[in-house]
Amino acid sequence: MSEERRKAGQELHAFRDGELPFWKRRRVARHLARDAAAQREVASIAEIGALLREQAASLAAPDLWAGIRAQLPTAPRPAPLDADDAQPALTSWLPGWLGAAIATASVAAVMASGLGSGDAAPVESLRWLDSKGKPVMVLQDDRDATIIWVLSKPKRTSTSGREGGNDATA
Amino acid sequence: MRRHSRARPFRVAWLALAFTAGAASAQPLVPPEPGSFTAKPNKPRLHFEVTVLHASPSSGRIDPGAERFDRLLRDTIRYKSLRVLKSKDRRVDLNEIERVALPTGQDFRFRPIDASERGVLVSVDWKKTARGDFRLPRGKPLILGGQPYEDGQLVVILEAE
Repeated sequence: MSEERRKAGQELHAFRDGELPFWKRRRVARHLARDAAAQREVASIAEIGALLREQAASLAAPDLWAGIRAQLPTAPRPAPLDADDAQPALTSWLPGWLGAAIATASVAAVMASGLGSGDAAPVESLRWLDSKGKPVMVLQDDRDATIIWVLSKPKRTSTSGREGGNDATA
Repeated sequence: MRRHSRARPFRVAWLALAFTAGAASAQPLVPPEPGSFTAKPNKPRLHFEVTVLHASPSSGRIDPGAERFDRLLRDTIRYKSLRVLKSKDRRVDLNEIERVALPTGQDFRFRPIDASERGVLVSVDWKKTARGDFRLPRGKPLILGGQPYEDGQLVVILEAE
């Protein structure tokens, strides 16, 4: 019984997140239309999600770097690798001035700006961002555009062929 | 007694007539025109444009459809050619999940959560790359890039109209 309830709960979560295939989604939707308890469950899932999101966005990230740096032992900087041994740079896509400015460990960036601000319309679009462990850069977030770049290692493939023209254009 | 038995068929006939008239008045003879007062109101749908670009370090050209994005990207990203791989117009309801298949085989998914005069709040999920929430005012593109593709990288642009 509890296993069934657990499965039903998982199904409702998947339904809420839009992860169910079409036919299953229809089945759950029909079930939801009939079952008030399931409706309440879905509403509470949505509520919890919104609450968590709100909390995550309102958390001010403390700047701990100064304290960490003070405790780090000083060690000589290792000699740079030969050019041949060097790994492909993640920032090869960025101009030098920008690549030098990268902080590599941004796992999840949470920007609270624009949340709970006054009447003025915020310029920034980004509310929260999770790059799934990859370094990420918010290159621009102003009135013109929001540009976000996730730094992934370039694929090393033997084939260098490229699709021609706009074949994939729909 | 005799009078009563003669009046009975009339009473039944009147009742049948009244019932038929009631049923006829309950159902309109002509179905309501779409957009008329009695028709179900249409849900306001949000209009999005999704553009998928390929930024490549190989020499090539900037596609005419990518020129606007080239102006935004060329100072911050290094590439030599910018091709439009896909451009889609999508009309989506609030909380409806929309998918755009990328050339990598993965889906770029987005769901408008809220719409106001400040723009549309959209939840975005680009598989294996990033996910997040963004408020998109009209005409301000959200440009997400960095996923390796062929010799370059994919750029996905989401705009609310």
